[in-house]
Amino acid sequence: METEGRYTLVGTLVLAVVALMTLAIVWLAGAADQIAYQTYTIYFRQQSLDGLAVGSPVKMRGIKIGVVDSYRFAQGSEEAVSVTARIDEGVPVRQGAAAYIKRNLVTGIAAVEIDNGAADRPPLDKAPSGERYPVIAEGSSDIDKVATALSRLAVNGAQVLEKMNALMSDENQRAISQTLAHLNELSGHLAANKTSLDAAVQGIRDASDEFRFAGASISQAATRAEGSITDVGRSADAALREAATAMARLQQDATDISSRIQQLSETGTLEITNVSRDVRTSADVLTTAGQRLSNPRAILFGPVQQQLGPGESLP
Amino acid sequence: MKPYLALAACALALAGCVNFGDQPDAPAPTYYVLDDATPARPASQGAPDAAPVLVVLDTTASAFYDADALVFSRTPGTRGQYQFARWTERPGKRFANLLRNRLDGQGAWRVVGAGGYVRGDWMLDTELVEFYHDATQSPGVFRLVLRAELIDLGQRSLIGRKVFARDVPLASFDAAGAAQAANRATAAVLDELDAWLASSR
Repeated sequence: METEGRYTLVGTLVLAVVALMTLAIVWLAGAADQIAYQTYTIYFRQQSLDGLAVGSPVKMRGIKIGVVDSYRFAQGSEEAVSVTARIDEGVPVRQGAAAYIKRNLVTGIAAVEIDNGAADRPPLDKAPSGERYPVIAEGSSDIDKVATALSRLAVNGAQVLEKMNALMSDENQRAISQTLAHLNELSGHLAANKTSLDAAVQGIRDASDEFRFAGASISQAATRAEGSITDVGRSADAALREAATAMARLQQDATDISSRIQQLSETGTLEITNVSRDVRTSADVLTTAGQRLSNPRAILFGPVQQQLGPGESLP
Repeated sequence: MKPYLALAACALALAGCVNFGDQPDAPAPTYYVLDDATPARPASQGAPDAAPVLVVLDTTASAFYDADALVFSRTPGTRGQYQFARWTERPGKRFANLLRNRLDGQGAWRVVGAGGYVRGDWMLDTELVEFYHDATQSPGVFRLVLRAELIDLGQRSLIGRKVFARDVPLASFDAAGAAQAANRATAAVLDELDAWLASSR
């Protein structure tokens, strides 16, 4: 009897425990369902989602504010991954917020970090056309920026290495070796001719001193000459002005003289023409008078009948 | 010697008193005035200041024509002079004066003679080539041939040259008719010369 009584107690306790566990599960599940979430969609196009899984945390400024509910490749031409995240309804996600993948460098576990928008922006609570939930834009993490910079640095470094490699080609190495040999030879010559070089340097130094003295002398001479030139310049300026005035007057006089000479030439030509004609006329008159005097009879006794003109007659 | 010298002086004095040319029966010469027969035009107000200055030289002529006697020709190739008819001025000088008077009357030129004090723009030089009474037939004609040259004094270039010829019949076969015909011939040639100058401006 005693043994049977213990089985009943154990069975009762087991049933009680199962009932309590069932109640606890139902209670916990119901409590979870009572937490308020706001669902958002994030399209990741640039970043890798390596280490991200369903249930991965969604954080804002390092504080978990939600979880990843699901993810899938987005339909359409763009190779984007659509991540559905449930975020606590009490967390205000504003317009202009951006999401990026933040990955633990040691474990590789990834989380979605949301960089919220400015405080004065309105909340992001409306779904765009064709979307079921509001869409948080994809951002870029500091790691990505560093990685991009490192990638460019690596590319540039590779180019530099290639150029260095080209610079250090066999031909260039031979040229550099020859240059070094020439330099060595030159230094040897310089060392051998050190005395001559010292003498040359001394000569240059002496010449420099003489040149400096000469410069000083030239400077003094120039100072003296400047004063003289200034005086000469003033005198020359006055002389030039007088010369210019005289030249202008001379030019005017020359113009007047030229005009008068031209006028004299023209009028003189006419005058000479007239005089010559008068002289010729006078010569003709004298010739005619001479012809008349050549017949003294006609002068003394008058014309004869044959000399009379039409209508003329002698008494 | 003194009586001979006194006699010679008396002879010379008496010789100076003798007038061999005094021919009381010979007709006195008639002096004709060569004139422009064109009716006188009203006096011009004078040429404007912008009118060109035309220097008109004295007209030249051969020695035979440019004498005070009127010239005639009874046969071709010969010339004679009227014995009792004279021009008051030599034809060359007189023709140039008539020409200046004619051009002055137009008012299109500022006409000057070749005095030597005025700078001319153009110059007119004329020559009487023929100026005689052609008496080969009665009463004959008076023949006047004038050659004219117009010269640009500024450019020293010949603008034009022309010969004007005119035969004017005589009204009477004597010196008076020849003088009247010479006046008409002069007027006609001046008319042609006037038109030619106007067309050359």
